[in-house]
Amino acid sequence: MSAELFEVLSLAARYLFALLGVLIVLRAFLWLLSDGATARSGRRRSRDSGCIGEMVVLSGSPALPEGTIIPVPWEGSLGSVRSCDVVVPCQGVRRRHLWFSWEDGSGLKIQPLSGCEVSVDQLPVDCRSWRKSSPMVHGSFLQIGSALLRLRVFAGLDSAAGFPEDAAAFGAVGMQQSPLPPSPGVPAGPDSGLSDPVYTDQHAGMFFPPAPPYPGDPGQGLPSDPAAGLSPVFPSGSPVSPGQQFPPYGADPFLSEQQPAGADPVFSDRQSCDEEPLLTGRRHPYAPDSASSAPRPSSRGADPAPRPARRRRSQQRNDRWEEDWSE
Amino acid sequence: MFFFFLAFLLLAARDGSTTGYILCAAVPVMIFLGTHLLPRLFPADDLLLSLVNFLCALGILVLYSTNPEAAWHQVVAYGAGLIAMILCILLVRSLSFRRGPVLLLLPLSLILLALPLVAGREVNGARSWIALGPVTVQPSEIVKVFSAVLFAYLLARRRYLAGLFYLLACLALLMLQRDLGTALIYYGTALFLCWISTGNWPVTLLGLAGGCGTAVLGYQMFAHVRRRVEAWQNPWQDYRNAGYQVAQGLMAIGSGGLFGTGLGMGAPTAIPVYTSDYIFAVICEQFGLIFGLCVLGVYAALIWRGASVAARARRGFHSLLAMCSVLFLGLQTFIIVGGVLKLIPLTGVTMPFVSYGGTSMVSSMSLAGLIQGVASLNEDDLEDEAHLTRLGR
Repeated sequence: MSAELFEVLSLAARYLFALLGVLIVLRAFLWLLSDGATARSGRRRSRDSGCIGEMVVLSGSPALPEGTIIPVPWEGSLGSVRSCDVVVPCQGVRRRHLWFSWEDGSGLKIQPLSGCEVSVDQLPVDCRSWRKSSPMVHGSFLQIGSALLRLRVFAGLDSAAGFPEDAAAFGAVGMQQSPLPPSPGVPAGPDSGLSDPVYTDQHAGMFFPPAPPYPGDPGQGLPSDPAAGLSPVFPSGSPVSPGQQFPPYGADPFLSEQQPAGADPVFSDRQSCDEEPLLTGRRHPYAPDSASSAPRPSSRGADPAPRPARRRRSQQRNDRWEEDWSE
Repeated sequence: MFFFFLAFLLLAARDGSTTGYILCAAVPVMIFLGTHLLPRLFPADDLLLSLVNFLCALGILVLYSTNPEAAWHQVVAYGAGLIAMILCILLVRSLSFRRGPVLLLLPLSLILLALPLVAGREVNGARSWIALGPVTVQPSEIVKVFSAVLFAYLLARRRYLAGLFYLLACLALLMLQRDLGTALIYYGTALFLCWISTGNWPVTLLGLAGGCGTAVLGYQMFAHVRRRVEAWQNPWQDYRNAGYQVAQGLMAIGSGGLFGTGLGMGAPTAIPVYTSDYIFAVICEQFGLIFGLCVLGVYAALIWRGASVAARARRGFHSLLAMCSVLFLGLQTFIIVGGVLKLIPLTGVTMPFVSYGGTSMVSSMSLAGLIQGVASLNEDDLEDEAHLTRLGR
């Protein structure tokens, strides 16, 4: 090609190249905006995306009233300042009080910062003993400063309670998807012996296995951990210090009169899987009684799809994180 | 793909060489395979891959228009970079970042950074290269990838002091090599990452003040720093010596105008180091300012995508890893483009993905691979959550 012809073609092509460049950039940004919109709509559909559960405030402060629900992400910090992932503006809570991290197959590991103390299920945990302490599981209580929180874990997440291989057999339900029709809740009343945080309409779709009773219920206590040699945490008397004020569990603010009496807990059939020995050797708080040991078909109708194999990779990944925490 | 097909066809017709026609077919095919086939084999972010492949192909195109031999070396470097990217994706997805192996990277990084001081050779005033047979390697580029993992690991575990000591050691070694541009990239990345992970404004401002103080001290102590600043302030004062490169770059950009002088036209070879540091000036000269802005737009999209990948990560380590990689790429782009446009004093760093340089290409692709790895983990988590949500129906 002659130099003159090339020069003409090159000068003509530069306008095309500029146009193509603009089109490429525009397409890239439109792609970004489209992906962002898709991600936002996905987060709106699944409001609990990125969370492993939530903390329910049983005793708080004027800034954190009872009944407040605080979403709990996979890992983060808890403290009184707004920059923390879980904000607990109560007396005795430091600006950054502790770090937490979810470990599949174990639970929510708590690491208090230096000089900060908390108690998990009435067992004190500080910055020196956190590695040996048991992680929080569904229904665990966290005493931090003047606040008392209780953990709800979304169904389907691996924890010390074990994960049902076949969710359909246990009627397990997953994370909240809005909107969902209201569903039967747990039986209300202090006589049930299985006092559960009751579901508000906002959480109509969320189901949790019956949680261990709140300390103070006579005759009901968390089981002991033979490995730790600890006696049951809750003797017949109040396990808490006389000065501490906790709402009696029967007056749980979440107890709603709308809950139909006598309705079976949705997860009652899940208890049958808890007869398996646990990793820690501790008898599971949700140990079934003889009346509810039979598995019950899902109340949701069609069986959910079997868990995909991809779940195993995430489980393996989180197992490795569990080892990191033990270092 | 049409853009590169047309551009390589024009250059091939100019030269009448077979290599041009081969590249005319090979580069679009390479982009297609890299963008569409690769995500089927390995979990990868499509948009990120598209942007990276566009920039790599643009670099090959511009190099071919000025120096065909360098273009072939760049193609080989792209192949090596692609392998490095895939390895980094698999590393993030498959291997666990445990304390032992990660902390082994710490002394390894410092040894690699110290190597040029012992057995290196000086290039353009900086002693930052080591020769491995026919190939020269810049260890500071490789250490960037290690540093991304280390910074993310240490900050995720709140080992702030260890991170600070590592950063200071890296900066000291880079200053001894007189590689101020890379030192600035390390410092800026660590500072931003510290602010992102802690949200602590006083510490961040203290770090910023420390950096500014060090810069002033460097200006007072080192003559070459003073020369660089003087050339930045007024390149025409010493046009034939210190200000020659800056002045030539500005003249090249200016002569290109809005639409450029045309592909293969102009006088890009008049600019010193036009294949690596000043390749952006060559792009602006040949394709024009509009296209130059489009290239900056592609980098902005890349950074935006990387930041959104970091924001959606579930674990702090993965989030910080992606963010650190984004910061390395973004700051490097800002520093070199700012230097070419005389926004800031010029430093000798390359333009990620575009500039000629095997080590630079491999390290940039590796950083992109780390971001891709975190993006693929995010996709896994979204699928898990979708499954949990389906369980609730």
